[in-house]
Amino acid sequence: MNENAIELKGVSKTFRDFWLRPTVKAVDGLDMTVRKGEVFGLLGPNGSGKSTTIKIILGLLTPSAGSVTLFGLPPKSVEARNRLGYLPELSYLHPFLTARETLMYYAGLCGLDRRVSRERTDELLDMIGLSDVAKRPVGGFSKGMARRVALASALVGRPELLILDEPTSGLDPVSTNEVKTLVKTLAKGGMTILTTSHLLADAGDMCDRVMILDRGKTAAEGWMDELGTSLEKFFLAKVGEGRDFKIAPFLLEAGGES
Amino acid sequence: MRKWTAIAFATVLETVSDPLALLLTASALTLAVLSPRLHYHQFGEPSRMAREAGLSAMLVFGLAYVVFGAVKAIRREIESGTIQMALSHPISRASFFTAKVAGVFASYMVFFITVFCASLAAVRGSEIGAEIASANGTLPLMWGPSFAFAFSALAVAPIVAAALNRFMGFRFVPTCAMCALAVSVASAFYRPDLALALRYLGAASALPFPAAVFVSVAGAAAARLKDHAAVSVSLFAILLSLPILGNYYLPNELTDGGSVSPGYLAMSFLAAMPLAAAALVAGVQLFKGRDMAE
Amino acid sequence: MKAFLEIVRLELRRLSRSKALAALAAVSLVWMFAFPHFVKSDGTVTGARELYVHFSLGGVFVICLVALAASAAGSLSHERAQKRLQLTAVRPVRIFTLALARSAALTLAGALVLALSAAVLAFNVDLSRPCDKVLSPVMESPRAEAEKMYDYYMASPETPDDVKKAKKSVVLRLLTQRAFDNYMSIPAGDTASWTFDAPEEGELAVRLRFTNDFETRQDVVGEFRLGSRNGVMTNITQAVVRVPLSERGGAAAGERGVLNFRNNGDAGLMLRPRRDINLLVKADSFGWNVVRAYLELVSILALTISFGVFLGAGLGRSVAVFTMVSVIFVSVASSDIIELYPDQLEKDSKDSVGLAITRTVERMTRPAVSFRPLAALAADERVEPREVASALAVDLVAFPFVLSLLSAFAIVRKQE
Repeated sequence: MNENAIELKGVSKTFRDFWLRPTVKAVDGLDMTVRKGEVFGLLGPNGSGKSTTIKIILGLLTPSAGSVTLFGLPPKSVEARNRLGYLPELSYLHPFLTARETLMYYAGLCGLDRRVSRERTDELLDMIGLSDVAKRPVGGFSKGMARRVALASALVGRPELLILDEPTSGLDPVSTNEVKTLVKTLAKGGMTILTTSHLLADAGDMCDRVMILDRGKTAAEGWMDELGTSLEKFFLAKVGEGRDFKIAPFLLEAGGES
Repeated sequence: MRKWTAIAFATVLETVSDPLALLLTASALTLAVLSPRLHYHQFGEPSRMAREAGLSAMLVFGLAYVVFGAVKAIRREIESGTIQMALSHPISRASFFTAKVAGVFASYMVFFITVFCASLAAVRGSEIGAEIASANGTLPLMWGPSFAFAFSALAVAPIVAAALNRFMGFRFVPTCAMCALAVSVASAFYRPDLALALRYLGAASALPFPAAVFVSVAGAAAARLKDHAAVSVSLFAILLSLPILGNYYLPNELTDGGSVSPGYLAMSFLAAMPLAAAALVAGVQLFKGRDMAE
Repeated sequence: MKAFLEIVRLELRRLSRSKALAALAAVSLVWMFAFPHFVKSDGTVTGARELYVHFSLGGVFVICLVALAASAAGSLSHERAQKRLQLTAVRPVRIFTLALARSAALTLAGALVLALSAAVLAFNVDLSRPCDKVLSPVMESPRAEAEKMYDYYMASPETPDDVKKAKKSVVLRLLTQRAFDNYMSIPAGDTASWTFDAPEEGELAVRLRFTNDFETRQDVVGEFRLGSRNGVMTNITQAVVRVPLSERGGAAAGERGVLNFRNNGDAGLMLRPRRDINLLVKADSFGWNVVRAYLELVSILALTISFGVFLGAGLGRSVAVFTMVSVIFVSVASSDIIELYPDQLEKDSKDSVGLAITRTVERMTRPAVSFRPLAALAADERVEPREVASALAVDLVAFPFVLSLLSAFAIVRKQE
C-alpha cells in the first residue's frame, strides 16, 4: 500500500533548443513527496520551476532525469489520471460550451455515466454558485466565473489528488476565501491537495506543509506549524529579499512630456 | 508618423517570421523555378512557360500571402490581447489599422521581389537554354546554371538559415526568408539581359495592384470577422473578381518581344487604387467601431 | 468509449455552434439546387442526369473534403496553442482516443452533409432506375502482355534508339500502359470474340465505347451473340452504346461466356478490348447504388480527415491547414503529371526520382482523389460491394486508427 500520493526522486528537467543544446535547466535534482491526505504548498519566486514541476507531475512533460510516481503509478498512465484533478493557472475553457455542458463534458471524460454526471454537475454548479447561469456559454463569463467553472471541472471526477495552479488567481477576496474554505473542507474529507501560489497568505491559510523552490532546487521544506515564523518571513529568508527597482531618472523629473 | 512606422515595421517582421509566409514563398518559388525546368513545352516561344509560371506564382500565391497575412496580423493582435496594450498608447485606431495593413503589404513586397527575381532568372535561363538547344538540336530546356542559381533560393536558403540559427542564434524563419531574397536577387543578375528584365518587370509590376486591393479587403474583413470567416470572405471576393484579375495577369503582352506600356500600367494603377482606398476606409470604420476585448 | 463519445459530442458542438456545420450544409444545398441551372449537358436526358449526378454530389464532396480536412488540420493545433489540450491530456483519456474521436466527429459531420445532398439527389433522380454490374473481357494482365512483348519490341528495328537505351523496368511500365490501349481490328464481315464471366440468368447488355467522334466514324453495323442471346447494333451516333442482348428463339446456343461480334458494316472496326467493350449485367437499383457510393465517399472523407488531424497534431495551425490543402491539390494533379510527363523514358536521374515520388503520392492518395464511386454512380455502373467493403475496412477504420496512433505520438512529443 503506497502512502504517498506524489513521489519525485532526483527529478531534473532541461529544456533544449532545436539543435538539442540545453537552454534552461528548469528543475534540478528535485526530491519531493506529497503524502496522502495532506495539503502541500509548492512555493517559489517567478521562474523557480513550479509550473514545470506541476507539468512533470501531470505527465505533460517528461523529466530529463529522475522518476515520478502518482500513487505508485507512472503519471502518464490512465489509472493515475483517473485519480487526478487539475486546475490550471488560466482557466482554458471551451468558449462555446455552457457551464453545465463543460462539467458534463469533463464528467464524461472521467467515464461517469450520465445520471451520475448530471447529479454531480448540479451539485457542483450549486457549490460554485453558478446554477443561475448554467446555460450560458462560458465564453461570456467573467474571469472569476470561468475560474469557478474550471475548479468545478477539476472536481467533477471526485479525484483523490487535486493539483491547483494558482487557485485564487483572478478571484475577488470573497471568492478567494470561499476557495480556501473549500480546499480545507476537501482536505478534511481525505483529498490530497498540491497547490502553488504567489500569495503567501493564501498558501499559509491552506497548507499543512510547504516546499520552497528556487532556481529549480529545493530551498526549504517544512510543516506550517513548525516554521516558527510567518510564511512570508520564512520565504524571504530562503529566497532572499530581492532588490528595489532603481527608478529610471526621467520618472523623477517634474512634469510630463507633451 | 514614427508611431505608424513602428507598428508597420513590427508587422513586417511579424509577417515575414510567420512559417505560413515562408511556405507560400517556397511554394511560389517552386512553381516559378521548377515548372520551366520540368516542361519541354515552349508554346512556340522560348521562355514563355517560365514567364507564365512566374507570373501565375506571383499572382496566386501573392494573393494568398496578403489575405492570410492581413487576417493573421489583425486577428492575432485582437485574440492575444496585445491590441489592448497598443491602443492604451497614444495612437489612433485608424493609424493602427492602416499601419498593420501597410506592414503586411510591405512584407508582400519582400515576397514579390524574391519570387520576381528568381522567376526572372528562370526566364533568362530558359532563353539561354533555347539558344543552346537550337544550336545543338536538342530539346529546349532551362539552362542548368541559371536553374541551379535560381533554385538555390529555395534549396540553399534553409541551409544557410539553419547554420545561422545554429551558430549565431538567428531566428530561422525570417533569416530563411531574407536568405531566399538575397540569393534570388543575386540570381537575377546572373547573365543579365536588361531589355528582358525591363519587359518582364513591366508585366510583373501590375501584380502588386490587386495585392494592394485584397490586403485592404482582408484587413477590413478581419476588422470585424473571426479569422475563418475573414479568410473565407476575402477568398470569395477574389473568386468573384477573377475576370477582372485577368487584366493584371499579362504574360501575353510579352509575346514576340512585346512589352506592357506604361500607360496600361498607369490605368491599372488608377483602377486598383480607389478600390484599395475604399476597402481601407471601410476597414478603418469597422475597426473603429468594434470592441477590442474578446 | 464514454470519453470517446464525449469528445465526439464536443467537436460536433463546436462545429454546430460556430455555425461551420450550418454554413457547410447551406453551401452544399445551394450547390445541389443551383448546379443544374448553370451547367449545360449534351442535350440528352441521360447526359443531363449523368452530369447532375456526377458534379452535384461530386461538388458537395469536394467542398466537404477541403473544408473538413482544413478544419481537422486546424482544430488540434489551435487547441494546443490555446492550452486547452492539456486539460484533456490530464484526464483519464488516452491521447489516441482524443485524436480518433476528433476524426470521427468531423467524419460524422461530413457524413451528415453528404447525406443531406444524397437526399436532394434522391428527389431529383428516379431511385428505382437500374444499375449494372460491369464485366470486362477475361484477358491476361497488361503486365504479362507487356513482358511477353518486351523482347520482340526491343528487337524491332522500328523501336526508337532512345527506348532501346532505357531501363527495362521503364520500358515494361510503358508497354503495360500501352497494353491497356492495345487496339484490335475487326475487318468488315469478320467476327471477333471475347470471353466473359457472364451469368446465365438475368438481363444482359453489351456496352461499346467509341473514342473518336461520330463525324469521323464509319457506319458501325453488327450483331452481338452470347450463348442463346443476341443484340443488333446499327449506325450509332453516341459515344457510348448499349446493346441489349435478348433470347433468340430456337437458335443454337454458342459457347458459354463467349461474346461474338460480327462486323456487318462496310468498314473495319478498331476497338481496345480492355477499355471499349464491357458486358453489363443488370444488378440492383440506383437507390442502392447511392447508398454504396455514399458509404465509399464517407470512407474517403474519414481517411482525409484523419490525415488532417495528424498534420494538426504535429504542426502549427496555419502551416497544417496550408499543408493539408496543398496535399489535396498535389494529389489531384499527380495523375496528370505522371501521364503528361515529357521524359517518360526517365533518361535523366532527376526525372526518375521525381516520377517515383509522384507515383508514390498518386498511389497513396488515389483512393481519396479518384472520385471513383461518383463516376460509377453517374454512369449507372454498380459501385462494387467489394470496393465498398474494402473502403470501409481500410479508409474508415484501419487508416484513421493508425493515423490517430501517430497523432497521439505527435501530440505527446509536442507537449515537451
